[in-house]
Amino acid sequence: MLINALAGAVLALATPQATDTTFAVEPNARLEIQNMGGEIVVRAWDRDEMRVQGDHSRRTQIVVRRTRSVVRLRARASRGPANIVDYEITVPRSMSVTLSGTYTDIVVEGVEGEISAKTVQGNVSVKGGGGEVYLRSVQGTVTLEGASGRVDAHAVSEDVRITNVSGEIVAESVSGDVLLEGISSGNVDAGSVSGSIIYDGTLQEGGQYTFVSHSGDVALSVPENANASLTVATINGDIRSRFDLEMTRSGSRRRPIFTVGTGSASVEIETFSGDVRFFRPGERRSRRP
Amino acid sequence: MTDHWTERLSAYVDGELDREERGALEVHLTSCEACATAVAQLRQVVGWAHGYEGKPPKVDVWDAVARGIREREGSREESRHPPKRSGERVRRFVFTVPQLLAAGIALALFSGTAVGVALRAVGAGSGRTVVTDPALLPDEIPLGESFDIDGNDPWTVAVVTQLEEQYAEAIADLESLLREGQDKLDSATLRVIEENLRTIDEAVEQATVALRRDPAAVYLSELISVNLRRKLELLRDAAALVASET
Repeated sequence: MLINALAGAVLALATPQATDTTFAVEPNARLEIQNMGGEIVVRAWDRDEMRVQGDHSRRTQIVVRRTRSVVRLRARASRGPANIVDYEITVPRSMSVTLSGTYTDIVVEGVEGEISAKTVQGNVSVKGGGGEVYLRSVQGTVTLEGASGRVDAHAVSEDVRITNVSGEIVAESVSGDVLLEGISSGNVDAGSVSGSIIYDGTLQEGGQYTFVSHSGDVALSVPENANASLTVATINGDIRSRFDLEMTRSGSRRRPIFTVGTGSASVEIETFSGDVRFFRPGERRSRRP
Repeated sequence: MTDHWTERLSAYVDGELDREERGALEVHLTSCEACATAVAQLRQVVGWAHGYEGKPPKVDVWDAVARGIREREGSREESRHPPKRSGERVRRFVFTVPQLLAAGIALALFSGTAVGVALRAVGAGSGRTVVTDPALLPDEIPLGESFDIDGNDPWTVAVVTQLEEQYAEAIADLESLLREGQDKLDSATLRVIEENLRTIDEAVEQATVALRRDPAAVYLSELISVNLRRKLELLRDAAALVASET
């Protein structure tokens, strides 16, 4: 009897509970969520309302705190720390979001405001975003698609993948690859320690592009009509090109400079032991160096 | 110390509580020694973790480098082009590659792209090489310039050492903080952080050895600087994780 009662209490605590509430918000307000574990999914719609859906245990509550400029969601447990919450939030398209978690996957789709998403163990996947887009994961992949603005994307052990993005980009990983495709930017700084770097995008007039890896390869697309000065440094790697490339100057030992067209854009490529590859736009799409 | 307040202490230190909650917690802190001690410790850890963000490199590095450039330039100019008459010597702003290396390292403390800027200044017109896939570039690219350098240039070594020392203090403090708080981190996260710190250390070591063998490879200083900065950032992130788990 006692055992049955205890089992019933445990099951009751473990029973998932759903939160589902919708309320009016300022369309340019900012959403803030901190989530210890679970998932945060944020989607956008064309209404000045926010819908908060959450799956969590019975002893956990989702607390909404609102001011005119900020909507803050927190999970609170009746006893002990709040555990796993799976959030699914729908926000006005122009809203900004600041999301952070520990054991948390983060997905954002269709938001046009600023986005900050940080997690420790989990992936960050964002489609959209404008203004400042700041993404970080220690143990997960960082993926960004279709953003416009200033992008700062960092991973530690996994890849950073950025596609069809326009604006200033900083992208780094320690041991993962950095893949940049369909980029329209005049300022790109991409780096990895042991991962490779692919850049397939514009080389704009007067633009500044830096690609630095220690032991990974660097592959760069050079459009046929580009005007760029390509400064390449590698200690133990090879330099290959899928098209004719003329070395016009040498900056120093093992640091040749290739000038394409007028040489207006400045491209710096450095790798200690990786290879450097040049290709035409689209030739290596979705393929690693 | 109740569960409710334990959970809110970190938010309190981060200034995330609203006025009502903050007031209630502050009343509680006056009567709960355990919570008050925990708040003090949290503030200390957060202070450590955040303290490095605005910590600039020591400015006197550049002064020392600039002084060295002036002294060496003076002695080299005198030995190569001794003045014909007293007071006739014309001051020239010419930098050798090792000097630019040292200047670049010092500047790299302030900007990761500074070395590249310095390098462009030493570019010399030379041969034209055509590269066509799948042909490789030759192992040794012929250059139109020579380098008057000593592979064990003590000045270069000293500047590299100084660069490492600039980061060493901050890195050592953060490593110490991580060691003290590592039991607060998930073991998988700790393992990933340690593996990636090792990856960065190996990269720094390889580039440092290569630079000491070949001080003319100026861009290696940028690789070292970039990777030391990455190590500092990873340690800072790890320290912030420790603080958030406390």
